Amino acid sequence: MEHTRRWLLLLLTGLFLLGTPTATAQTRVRLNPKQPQTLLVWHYYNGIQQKVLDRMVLEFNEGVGAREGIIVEAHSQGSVNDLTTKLLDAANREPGADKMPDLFGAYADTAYQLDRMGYVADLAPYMTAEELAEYVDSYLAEGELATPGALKVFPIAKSTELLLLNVTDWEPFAQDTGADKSLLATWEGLVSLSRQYYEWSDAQTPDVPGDGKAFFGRDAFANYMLIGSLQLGVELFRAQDGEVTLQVDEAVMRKLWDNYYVPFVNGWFGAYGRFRSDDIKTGRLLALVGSTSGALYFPDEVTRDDGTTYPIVSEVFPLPNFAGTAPCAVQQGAGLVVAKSTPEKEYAATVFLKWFTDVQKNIEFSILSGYLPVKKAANDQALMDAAIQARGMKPLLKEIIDAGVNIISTYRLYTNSAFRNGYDARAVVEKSMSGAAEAALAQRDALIAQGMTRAEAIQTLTGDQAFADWLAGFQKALQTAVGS
Amino acid sequence: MAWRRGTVNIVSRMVLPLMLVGLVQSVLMMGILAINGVFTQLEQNALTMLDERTQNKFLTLQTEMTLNWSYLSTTEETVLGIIEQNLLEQGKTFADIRSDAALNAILVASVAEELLPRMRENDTTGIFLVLDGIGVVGKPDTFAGIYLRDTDPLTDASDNSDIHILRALPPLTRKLGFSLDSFWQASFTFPGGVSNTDNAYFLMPLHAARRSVAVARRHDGYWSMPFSINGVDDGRVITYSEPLINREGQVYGVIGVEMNESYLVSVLNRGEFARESRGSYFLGVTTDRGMTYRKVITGGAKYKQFFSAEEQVLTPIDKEHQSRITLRSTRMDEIVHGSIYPLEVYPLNTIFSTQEWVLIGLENETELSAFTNQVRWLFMVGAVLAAALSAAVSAMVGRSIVRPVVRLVGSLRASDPNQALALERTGITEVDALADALVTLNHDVRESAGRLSRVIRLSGIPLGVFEIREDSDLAFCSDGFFRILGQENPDRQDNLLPKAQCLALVSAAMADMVEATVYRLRIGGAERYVRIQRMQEQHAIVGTVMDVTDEMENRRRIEQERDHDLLTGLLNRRAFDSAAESLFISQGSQVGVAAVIMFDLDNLKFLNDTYGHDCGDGYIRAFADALRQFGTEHVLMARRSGDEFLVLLYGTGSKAELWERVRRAWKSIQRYKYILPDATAYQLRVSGGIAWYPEDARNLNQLIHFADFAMYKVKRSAKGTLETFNAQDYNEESFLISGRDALDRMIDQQLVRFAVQPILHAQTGDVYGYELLMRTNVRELPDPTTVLRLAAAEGKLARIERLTWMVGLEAIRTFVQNRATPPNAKFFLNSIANQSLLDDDERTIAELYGSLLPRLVIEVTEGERNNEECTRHKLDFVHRHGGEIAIDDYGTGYNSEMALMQINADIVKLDISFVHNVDTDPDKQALIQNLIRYARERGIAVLAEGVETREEMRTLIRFGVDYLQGYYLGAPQYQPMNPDKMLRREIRRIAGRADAGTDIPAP
Repeated sequence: MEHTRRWLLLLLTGLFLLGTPTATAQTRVRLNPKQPQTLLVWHYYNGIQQKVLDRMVLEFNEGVGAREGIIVEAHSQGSVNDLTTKLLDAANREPGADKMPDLFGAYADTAYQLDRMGYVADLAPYMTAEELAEYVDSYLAEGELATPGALKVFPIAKSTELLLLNVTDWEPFAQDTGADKSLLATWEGLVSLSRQYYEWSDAQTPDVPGDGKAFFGRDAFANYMLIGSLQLGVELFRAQDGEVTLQVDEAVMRKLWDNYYVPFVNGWFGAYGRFRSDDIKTGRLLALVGSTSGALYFPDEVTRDDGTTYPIVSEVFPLPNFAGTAPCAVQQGAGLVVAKSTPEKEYAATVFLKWFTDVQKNIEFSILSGYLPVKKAANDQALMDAAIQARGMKPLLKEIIDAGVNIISTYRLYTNSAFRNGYDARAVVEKSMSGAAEAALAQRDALIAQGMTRAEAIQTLTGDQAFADWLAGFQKALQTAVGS
Repeated sequence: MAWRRGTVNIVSRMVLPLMLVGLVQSVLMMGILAINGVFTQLEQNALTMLDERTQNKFLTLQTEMTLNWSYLSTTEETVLGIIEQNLLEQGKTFADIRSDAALNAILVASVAEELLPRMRENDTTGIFLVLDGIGVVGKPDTFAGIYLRDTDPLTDASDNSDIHILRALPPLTRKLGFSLDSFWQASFTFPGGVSNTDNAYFLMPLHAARRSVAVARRHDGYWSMPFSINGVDDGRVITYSEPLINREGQVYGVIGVEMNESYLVSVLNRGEFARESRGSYFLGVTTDRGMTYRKVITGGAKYKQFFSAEEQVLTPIDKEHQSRITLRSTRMDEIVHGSIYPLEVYPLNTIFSTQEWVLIGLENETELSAFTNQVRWLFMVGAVLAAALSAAVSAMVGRSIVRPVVRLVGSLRASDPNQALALERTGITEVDALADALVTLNHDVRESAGRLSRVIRLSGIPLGVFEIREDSDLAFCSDGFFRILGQENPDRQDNLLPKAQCLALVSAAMADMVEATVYRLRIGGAERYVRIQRMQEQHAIVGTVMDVTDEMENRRRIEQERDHDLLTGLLNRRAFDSAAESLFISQGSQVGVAAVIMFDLDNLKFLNDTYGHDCGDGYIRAFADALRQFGTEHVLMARRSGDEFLVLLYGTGSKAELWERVRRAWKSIQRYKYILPDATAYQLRVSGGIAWYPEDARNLNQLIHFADFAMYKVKRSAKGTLETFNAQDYNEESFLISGRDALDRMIDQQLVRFAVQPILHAQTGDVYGYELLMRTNVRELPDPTTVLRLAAAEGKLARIERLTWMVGLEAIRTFVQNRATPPNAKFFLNSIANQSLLDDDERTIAELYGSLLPRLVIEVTEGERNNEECTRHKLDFVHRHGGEIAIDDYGTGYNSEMALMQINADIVKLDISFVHNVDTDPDKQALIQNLIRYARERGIAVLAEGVETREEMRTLIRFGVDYLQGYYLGAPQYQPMNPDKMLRREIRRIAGRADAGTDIPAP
């Protein structure tokens, strides 16, 4: 009797141990290749990036996926904005909304919002500590979403920002005026160069006044505001535990205003097509600040309005900083979030994500799409260069990747922590000043048409009153957005 | 102990056979299943399921390709309008497009807005428009145009951020605000010209349209093979492009859409087949009628297991029939079955129609026969189980049977030999019976041999036997042998005769072979047929001779009846086809120059109607007789159907020689007379068409078709002559031919819908009703006039009539149900005058739409005579159910005053030709006032259609017209519209003044 009881006890203990996943052990799930798990992925990649992703998904489905029983179906939802809207519609069960996908691309703020609604799976239990340690720390930190130790946004590719210059069209300008490329290191220098270029190009046709050309333009305007504010000493969004404190400093905002809004209304900066790279292609701008991923689209020729073309040479520069501040750049790129589901689906998603971020795969995706890899081992100049060489890609791309890797190691990388309504707040930052600048530009021409001189018109639109009006509107919009 | 051993023996002897019986039964069962083709049937079912799955996918793809993606015609119209407008404004002409880059920039910018909605609506991944003219100043190899792309058409970004521009000048890209593709360029270039297949999407439709005749140009749309627009690896696409043609028929550019590979794959993968990963689809093109298939796109997980991605061409190893092929997988040792569905992306006889697009559903043999194999395996297991069961049962049964036998043996042993046996009765009787049976059997066997011969003769089968043995000089020949071969039996006693003599008889009989083992003999002047079969046995030759004369004669007669037309004795159509086919195939070299002549007897209907069918038959026989003028050598003649005859002449060295032969025969045929029952000599009248081999076609069907066409032309014109096929005529009328298919499709799939045009009260301006105007959804049949013309030519007016009723009433029902029309509004439906509905249809209509019929007004269309009984029948039907009749287009064609008197009409619709300019033309005013007076007296309402100006309306209202219809009052639309308030007020105002009796123009 005693004997039997001891055996029974041992058996029960064993069963108990088997059935309880411990905090350190990787959760084990068995998949059946005969009844594969289908993972629906929503992303916002277009063009080349979409093609690369599609190709890699195909490779996964035919290889690892076929063996393990996982089928990945990736669909682009257009832009980040469309993707976010569709996700929120799905989460809020709006009438006519789609079913929530199994994986989706999202910035930390959107992921945070969905996590609060209970839609986001934590992938940490499916990863060993060693596996987690392979990823760049700040990328994992971004994906914690206010839950230390969690893995809610899986990093797959990151990017930062750079400055690119059309050197071919720069040369005649530099020869005539002695303009100096070293001015490109600061925002202040960039503004003065842009003004110089405007005046120089205006003087090319002495009989037509006010037809100077813009020198510079940028996309992802929110980055300018957030990084600039931080660099000038005040973090615009200070977030803790999902709640944000808005820190709108008037002096800092004035500095940002003077270095974007004012040159824009003066015509020294510009924005014409959908993206600034489009403006470079059509010769409307000479320089831009943009994401490393967008730099892929930097052209090797300029097309004039009548369709004729000429070749150009380009050069890559680090992101400008404000004079006298420590270098700082944005860390961006959406990660993939896994929707809360069955253990089988979550495990299957992790298998895919691990495969996708494997060093060689991640480098392949990165160099083909202009992103930077997410594993420490992959952010290696030699490895990247070898991969670029092996594919015979154009030298500018190597410059871009090199500069990107360089920024990651020498700049402070910043992305604001996630907070409630962060998505809406970011939208305000993106549009408020840049929208005001575009509106002012239209007003400027209207005022001139009404008989004001150009200088008077610009003075009216860029003066203290204009700034105060904008700032008040900006603060109000921000507060409405975060719901305070 | 010895009897014990005996018991065991018996049991085992029973068990083994019974077990065997069990096994044999199972095997037999399998055999029967196999022989009856159950397994084949199962496999066939699996193939049929593959067919069905493929058909579903085919239907999706066919719809997408022909109705959705490639739907460009309205955009072409709009684009042409915009371009004409801009050319006018710029003071330029279409010729300037060639060389004026600045003009082209304006033209492309002006039509750019039209393209995006078209791309979205057609669910394509891209759209382009290329002008056939310079794109960039100073660069003559550039072409102006625009190319938009949306890689994922299933989702549309609200701000168009998913749209990329591949081609367009910079100012236009800024105006549109879409992002530039990585490979964006300002203009199109086509390096390498036609020899570079990447340029086909522009050059093929362009050149095709330039080459083809005007009618065919609308069919010059071109589907490309997969290629990259930019010539680099940025995703391959297929395109559909059509030439842009101005009103003078000049080609000025190309418009088209693209579908990228991943989108096409997603269309192929949609649905259960691919997801179950059982098989896959192959979309391909064959230009050699199925010898090879070039790959366009493939879908389904399994395809890559069968064939590598690099293989561009599939070559079937076997074609089961039109719709199935067998392939050998190149990546695994496996047979793959394919179910083929041809996609009708090109209309017949158009320039690209030699490129046949097909969808092939593929499934490998293992997968297909999985179920069959499972069934087979189950049967096998069943067999073994049955055997085991029968063994067990027989062991038990055996024991129970053996026990009494053991008792019997025991009692036998125990019996006293000196005494009578006292055995248990059962056992002894059975053993005795067995012994008796054996003795009887032995006896019978000896007797049977001699009996056989007699039995054969008694049975009446004409059979004879002979046997020639190696070890004897004499051969045995039965009585029947001599009788059948018509010989005297020299040895009546033993039926034996010398070996050599027997052999001589047999080989003499086998001199004239008719078919295998059957020989012809002449016996007493009569022809007999004998079947002689010989068999080499070990030491002898054994043979049978059998009289099969009756059988052969029966067969001859059946063949004659099968192959010949009973009335004329000429070949029938089937026999003609097979004889001509085998002539062309097996004796191709002897055909030489040949001609196919199609004849059609004129006036047969007249003779039938006037003198009765016997006379008509005689007329047909007379013509068949006349055909003998073509001689008997190198000619095939057939009666193809009722009054159609077909003659194939061949084996002549030159066309001139053959033509002479035809001419001579034709001359004598024309002199033929047929004596009618009233003893008048009636001239044979016949129309004929002739097509030449090999000049016109090398294929028999084609030749017949061409001859038919030539005859058909004669029939429609002069009649009574013989004309040669003319390819140019044929091409010009190919529209009628291809239209035939389109018409069938339109009728079968009910591809029509109805627009409605409001009809207003002339006094109140309220809606009186709506006229339903048929619109087709078939591109080849753009307007109802074409439909009617074709349907009349094809004898399908009745079906159009039925379609009008059914679809029209359904549309009305929908309008009424949705309350889209005012209550009590009337619905005017155009009916074809001399076509009536079947009684069944009338019943259906009354049942389904009975409540709507009182609101129906049937318009009798113009252009047909109304004196037929059926028209009256139909109109009665309408009146019976409370509907009304309107005479359409009054004042033109046949519907004049006579019609008004004949038809009990409720409403007269005044033709547009009377209404047009009525305000200024006094003649028309007089006519209309007369008509209104006449109609009023008879209680007939007058409706004026085609009212296009305010003045026309004013005049008509004042004359007292009851109802008004026309563009001024409302254009036809797909949703019923109410007239706007202003118009209504205006009508009331005019009507009010008319009532007051002022301002009426003098008649």
